[in-house]
Amino acid sequence: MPYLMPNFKAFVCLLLLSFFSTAYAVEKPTNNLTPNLATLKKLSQSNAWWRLVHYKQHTYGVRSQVDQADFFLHSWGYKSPLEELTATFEQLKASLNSPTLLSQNEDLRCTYPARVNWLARTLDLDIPNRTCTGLDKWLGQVDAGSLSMIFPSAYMNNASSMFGHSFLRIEGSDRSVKPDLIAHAINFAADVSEAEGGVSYAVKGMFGFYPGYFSLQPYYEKVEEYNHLENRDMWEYPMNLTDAGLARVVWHMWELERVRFDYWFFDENCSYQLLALVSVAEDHLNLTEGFDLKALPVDTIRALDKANLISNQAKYRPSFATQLISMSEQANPAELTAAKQLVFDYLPPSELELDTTANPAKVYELAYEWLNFRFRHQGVTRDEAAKQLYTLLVARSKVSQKSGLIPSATPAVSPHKGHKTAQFAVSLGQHKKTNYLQLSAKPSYHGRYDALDGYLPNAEINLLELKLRFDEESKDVTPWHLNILDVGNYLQSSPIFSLAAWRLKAEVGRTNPLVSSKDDWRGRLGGGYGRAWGSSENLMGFLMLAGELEVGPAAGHLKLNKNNQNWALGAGVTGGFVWEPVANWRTGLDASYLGFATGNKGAMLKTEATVQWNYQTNQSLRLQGKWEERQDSNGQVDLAWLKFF
Amino acid sequence: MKKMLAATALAVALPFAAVANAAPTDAGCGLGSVLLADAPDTLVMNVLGATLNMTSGNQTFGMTTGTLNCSTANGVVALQTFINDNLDTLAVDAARGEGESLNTLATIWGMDDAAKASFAKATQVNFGEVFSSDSVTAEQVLENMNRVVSEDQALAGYKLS
Repeated sequence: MPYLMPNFKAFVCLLLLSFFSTAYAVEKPTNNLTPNLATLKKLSQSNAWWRLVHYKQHTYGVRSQVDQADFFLHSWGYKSPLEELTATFEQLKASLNSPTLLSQNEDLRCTYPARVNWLARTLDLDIPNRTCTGLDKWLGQVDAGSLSMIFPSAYMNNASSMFGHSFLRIEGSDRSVKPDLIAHAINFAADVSEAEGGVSYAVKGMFGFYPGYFSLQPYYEKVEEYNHLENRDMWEYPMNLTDAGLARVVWHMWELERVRFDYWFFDENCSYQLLALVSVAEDHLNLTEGFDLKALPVDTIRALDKANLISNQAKYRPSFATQLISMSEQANPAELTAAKQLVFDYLPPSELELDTTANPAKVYELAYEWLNFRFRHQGVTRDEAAKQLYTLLVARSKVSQKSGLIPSATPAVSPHKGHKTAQFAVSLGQHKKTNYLQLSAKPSYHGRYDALDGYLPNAEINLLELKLRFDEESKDVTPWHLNILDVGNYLQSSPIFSLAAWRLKAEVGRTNPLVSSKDDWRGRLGGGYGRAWGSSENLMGFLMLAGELEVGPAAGHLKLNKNNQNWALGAGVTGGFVWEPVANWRTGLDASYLGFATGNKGAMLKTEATVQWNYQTNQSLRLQGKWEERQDSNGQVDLAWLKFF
Repeated sequence: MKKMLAATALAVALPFAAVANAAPTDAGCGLGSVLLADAPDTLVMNVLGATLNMTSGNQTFGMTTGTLNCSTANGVVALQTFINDNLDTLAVDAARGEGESLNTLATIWGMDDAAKASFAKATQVNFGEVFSSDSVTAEQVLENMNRVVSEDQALAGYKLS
């Protein structure tokens, strides 16, 4: 059986075994396993120990983020680093002093190899190795040679995916015999055992009701999941770990098998726990520091970059949709026409009359991927598609010529090199002829005028932007505005995709500096659905049907009178453009005309014009003018300095 | 039998879905596929396999078992598993006569670089024989590939016994 190459494999296995658990010599008497209390106390406060047990300092005390009692060797281990360390020593002593070798389920060297390794190198202990059948076999299967951080970036038509995901990949010790597709992905995910609705899922996830676990699965399954099913471009960042560092990460994974962490969407999420795992590679690493409130995957990639743990040679793996668009852009008109006939008319390839300028291999490949995309994502059923898909592949296989299609180009800037995701702004402005000074901040993510590098060109998502204002009228600092959610997808249609553009905005705030704050607040929920053209790398325009609900005493900017309703519901149109005439200068217009048919009736025109100069990756200047016309006029102009952090 | 192209209907992505839902496309390399190694490869059994994995803590949560079938040391099982899990991409690669999935399969098969090139060519030329219909199974594909390999002079040494 030549395909097994038994000798070579055995050789690799031996190498590995000797790497991870050397020799099985006669056990020597152990040295100092009874360190004094001072040493124990000092060690129990060390960074490396805190990372191994996942401790975190809270205002009310120390707690481990592991939510499973049997992970701890002492019943107070979840809150006492010292008790846990003492218990760890006790067990190590018991393992080493036992007259007969303990079973692998009881011997600390088999159950907590990373802890034992840390103690041995920190206290310079001479701990004899032993065989651990389960651990050794598993290490052989994992066959770790190197580690990569994988980041599937945001995907089309789903802005919430901008929060993304990340996972690790352990490549084999010899990638020529274990290609990356069959390498192991290390995933941290919530265990959502039954199908649950979006709202319940989101709420539970936000409040840590789901258990989260580390897991392994073949990398090809992740490629299928993200590249093909979800259309996310993937970035693979090779990590710079030492061999010893990699071994510690792998040992620690073993310690975390079936260990429960509560899963929190925003902070203790997949990306956070991967950083926690990687932190055990070196004693000084504490990569989760600074991710107490939120851990966006892209920010965790930045943290790795800052710690010099990832290489800049990231590999780009374009998604199904990205590849398909790229293929269609490489096809000439004759090839596109032919592909359309095959995809939409189900024309048998044998009846296709090809123009001499058309490359048949390219036509069949494009038609296959196009129809496959319609089958997977656009509602074409298997019965409709299967036969034609198969026929197209048969036709393609009979053409020996190459299609000449090249993979879509790697974007010039990888996602983590783009601007940071939180933003702070100081601005000076005038509103209804009243001057003001304004401070604003938002935790995330990307506005349409912000620097595009590393982001999707036609999408924006802004969350929880709070504005505080000091104005010369009230001479007081007041909470002025809260932008709860402002999400937009302005995806362009192409020969392949006929895509909708949409946006959604929810906000609450003041409207007029001249009115008392009690009578001057208004909540707005608005949305639009339509079409967009072009890319905001150059020029993008959109036009949508829009709807809006206003609630609050200021709904409609009317002075209070008894006929005034404190709500209004209307519909209309909205449109605008974003234009980058010169690099880093982004400008645009956004205008809506709405008729309020119920509640506080009337018509409204609102416009907003913006010029933003992104003079550095993380700093911008923005000049913005807003005008609303609805029985009264409401205008303001604002000059802001933006800082991303 | 698991149908070629029997892709999942998970394409509609819910907000946040990506964070938590491992796509249960089939039992793959988890515990379920081990338990069901001798069971007929039906779609029902695949679903059942995924379910079994779930109850043992989800297919993706078996740290010790998650790697079992995917090791090249498993030979035929590894080939079978990989073909089963990558049928669509393998078919496209075979039709084109090149690609990452086909190359990975040849690697699991143990082929050297020259043999991989011959293998890619042979699967393209014999595409209709290897992928004999739109509902071909992984088992049939492996059987057909093995026949193509055994009939190809450059590849005959790699014939599975």
